[in-house]
Amino acid sequence: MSDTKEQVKQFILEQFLPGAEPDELTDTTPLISGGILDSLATMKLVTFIEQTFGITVQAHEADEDNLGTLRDIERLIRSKR
Amino acid sequence: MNQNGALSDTASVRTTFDLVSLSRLFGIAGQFALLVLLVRQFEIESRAFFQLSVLAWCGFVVHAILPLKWRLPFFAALSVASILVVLGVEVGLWLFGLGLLLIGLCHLPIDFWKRVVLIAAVASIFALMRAGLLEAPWSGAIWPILGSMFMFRLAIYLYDLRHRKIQPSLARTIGYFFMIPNVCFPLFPVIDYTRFNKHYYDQEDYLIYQRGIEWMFRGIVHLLLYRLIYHNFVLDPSEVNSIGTFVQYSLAAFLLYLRVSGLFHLAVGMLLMFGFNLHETHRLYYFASGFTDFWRRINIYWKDFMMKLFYYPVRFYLRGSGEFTSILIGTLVVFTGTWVLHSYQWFWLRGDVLLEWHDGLFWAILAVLVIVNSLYELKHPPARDLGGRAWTPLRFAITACRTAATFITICLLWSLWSSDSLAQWLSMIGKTGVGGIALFMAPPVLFGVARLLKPLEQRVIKQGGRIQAPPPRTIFWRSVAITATASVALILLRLPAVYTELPTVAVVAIKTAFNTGLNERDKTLLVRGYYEHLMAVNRQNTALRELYSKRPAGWDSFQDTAGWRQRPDFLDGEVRPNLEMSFKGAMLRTNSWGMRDREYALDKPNDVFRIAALGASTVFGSGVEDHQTFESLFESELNRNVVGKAYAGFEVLNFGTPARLGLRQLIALREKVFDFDPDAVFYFAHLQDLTFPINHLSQALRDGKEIPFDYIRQLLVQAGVSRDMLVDDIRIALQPHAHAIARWTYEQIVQDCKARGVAPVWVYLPATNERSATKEAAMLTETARIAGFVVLDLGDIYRGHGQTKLALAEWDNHPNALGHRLLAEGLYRVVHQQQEAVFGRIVLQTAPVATASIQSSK
Repeated sequence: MSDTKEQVKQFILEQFLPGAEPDELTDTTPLISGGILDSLATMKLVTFIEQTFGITVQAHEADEDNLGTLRDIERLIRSKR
Repeated sequence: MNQNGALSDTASVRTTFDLVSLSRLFGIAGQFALLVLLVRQFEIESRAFFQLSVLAWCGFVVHAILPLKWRLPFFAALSVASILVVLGVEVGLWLFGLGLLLIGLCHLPIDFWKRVVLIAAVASIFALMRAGLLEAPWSGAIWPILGSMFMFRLAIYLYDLRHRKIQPSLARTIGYFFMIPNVCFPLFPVIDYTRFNKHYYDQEDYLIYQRGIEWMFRGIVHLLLYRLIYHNFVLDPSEVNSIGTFVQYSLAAFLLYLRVSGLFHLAVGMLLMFGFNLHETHRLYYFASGFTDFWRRINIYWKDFMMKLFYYPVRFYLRGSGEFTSILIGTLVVFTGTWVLHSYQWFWLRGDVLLEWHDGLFWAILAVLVIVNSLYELKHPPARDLGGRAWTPLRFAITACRTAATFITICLLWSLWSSDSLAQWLSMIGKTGVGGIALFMAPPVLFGVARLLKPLEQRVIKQGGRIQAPPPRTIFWRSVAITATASVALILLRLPAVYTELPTVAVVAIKTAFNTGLNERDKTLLVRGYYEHLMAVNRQNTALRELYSKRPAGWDSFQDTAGWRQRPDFLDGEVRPNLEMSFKGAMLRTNSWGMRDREYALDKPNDVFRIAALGASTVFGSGVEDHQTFESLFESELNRNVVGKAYAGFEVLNFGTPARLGLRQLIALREKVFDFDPDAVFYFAHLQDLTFPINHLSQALRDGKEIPFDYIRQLLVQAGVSRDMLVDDIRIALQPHAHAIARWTYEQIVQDCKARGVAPVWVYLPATNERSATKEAAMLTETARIAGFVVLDLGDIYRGHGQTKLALAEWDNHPNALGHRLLAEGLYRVVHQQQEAVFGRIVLQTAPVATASIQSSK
């Protein structure tokens, strides 16, 4: 797993899934449709991504396409760097 | 599907068929056929929906075996075909053309915001047409469907175009806007364009189809449950007089939402049959365990729409202002927007604006609850899990407390939303006593208990006491077996040979499930609606609202037309003289006396027997031509059959006036009718003789109008009513006196008639949906007889004729031309039988003429 993905994964585990087994959160685990990221959590995640990776996420990018899975998040971050 | 609309690598779309895949397809097609049969057996929605279901089934079978590249164009073509089938070619082509215009504007090669301005300008013109301020060259039937297809989807489409979320194609866009179930469902889920495209065949096709089958079946079950509740549990606010009835009122109000979730499951389930792997529209919303949870479960598509277009843009814009501020403002914008957009939707579906303060209060309270819950979740994030947590007794207890608290709160809120006004709701609360206080205290207490137990659950989790629940599995053939068996069971239950063998409770439930008509309360409201011009239906009353949404523009109460002249007294108004106007599709003329009749001299000719016909809108002849009214036909028949030398002919003067029954007829009799020197007064009565005088008195008292007659004024004092009470409360207090008022009115009419040597005749006119005598009708008949009327009963006049053949329209119970002809035939027959009592002698031929040829000569 890349550094970017690992950092995001750790954030999600610590903030939203305390006590979960890290291996259960995979690249393709559905974060939004799976109920892990609601609107409040999504905004927290966006703030983390922006502050950690120095990018700006737009409102229309806060959706399943870009934040649906760890793989999607990594692709979003890479596209903006 | 990727951003360019091509199927992703993970899609699994079968293009060749083996035995396994064919058997799956047969299983799915077979279940779909059973569902279509269910739609027919239980008359789910309209006949048009059944036709659409058949078309969808045929379309599915073809679609499922087509090569993938043809499926989207086929779906688009099928959707357009469904519009032509349901609306007709002309109207359908107009709808399609107007839709293409709107879509075309989205793709003009000009700056995006200029396109938005152009679209807004065109939409404004459409709005003026919808409101009836501009004439449109197309049928008004287009508006609810055009509105439903474009009012929200256009905004999403433009948003996604702007942000280049997907590259549209003609087939995709036409399929999106004109999608097949929408033509039958003006109320339709707000489907996201990106999701519509992204999740196209993104899973094994048979799994998508089977989920579609499950959802359509669930939708049908929701709609049947809705009927059960609608016909058996709904209470009118006037019936709420205790904590028990208030609980029933609130519960029924919330449970009626099953209609919306049922329709949405049906609609989206049908889309899944064509490969659009959309998510659920509702998810166990009755079991929400918090207000944010409720918001996320009920009408999920609406929530997603508001999040995408309003919430996230506001929250991103206000990021720098802190979480508290951005959550507060973001949520307020969402709920204010929801309130306004619901009224915007209402406008397109109904043609008028419904923006009421107690409606706004509902959304404001819900907004506050969601904000408080959101802020709480910021500090105390809800438990999330990857594997699905098992249900421990502690978790069950906490969730049960939270769910009960949420459910009670939402029921209370829904009861507010379903009331006609805040004052009415508070009046109901006032009747609940100590029980009401307990009801309002229950949610905070239950939330408090859940909060106290929460630390215990967290301690258990930290100690490693959490057990991983096994993940759910989809088993295709088990789902097929369950759905198919349940569908067959329901179909069999519909057969009289089957359900009559069941216990009585089950028989009542099944009969309710296939009752597609209005419940008793709404039948009363429907009648009151066109008598008392109460067309402002509470939007939660989906049954009556949908009925009214089918009314063409201009189909109003007569009191809302130029033909009505208001009066400041108890009579409230009267029909204008010398009218010539179209009303409910028929020409209507009045003479110089304001009667819907030919011209008559005030002085009666010596050799004529003059009958004064008193009655309401049926006597008036709402919705039929002048020569088709039963009064006109009856007069003609009398004149064709007169015998002897006593009279050269008959005159029947039509004093029928909409909404005029009971006390108002007594006033009109004294004020006007006797001036014409009638030989007989025919008082045409309805069941509403027991209710309308109460309604009129209640409203008149509330409006400060002078109450006529000493007897009535004394009765009001006796009933303890006063002007500062709510109309509903006055009505409830007066209801026990309904029969006394009717009896006194009849006695006065008879006394007045007999004092003038006028024969008083009482005729019972049934409603077009009355097939046998009711208890109230029998009581009224006996009351009239005791008062001294000659009683003529037409109670079974419509027997053997279906109501749809007799009523003006689905939304209007007044008799049509056939109904009037039956009334005329029946009236002539009973008058002929009792002519000595009516005329004092034999004046008509010995046997009634075959009335099939009955015609008016007016």
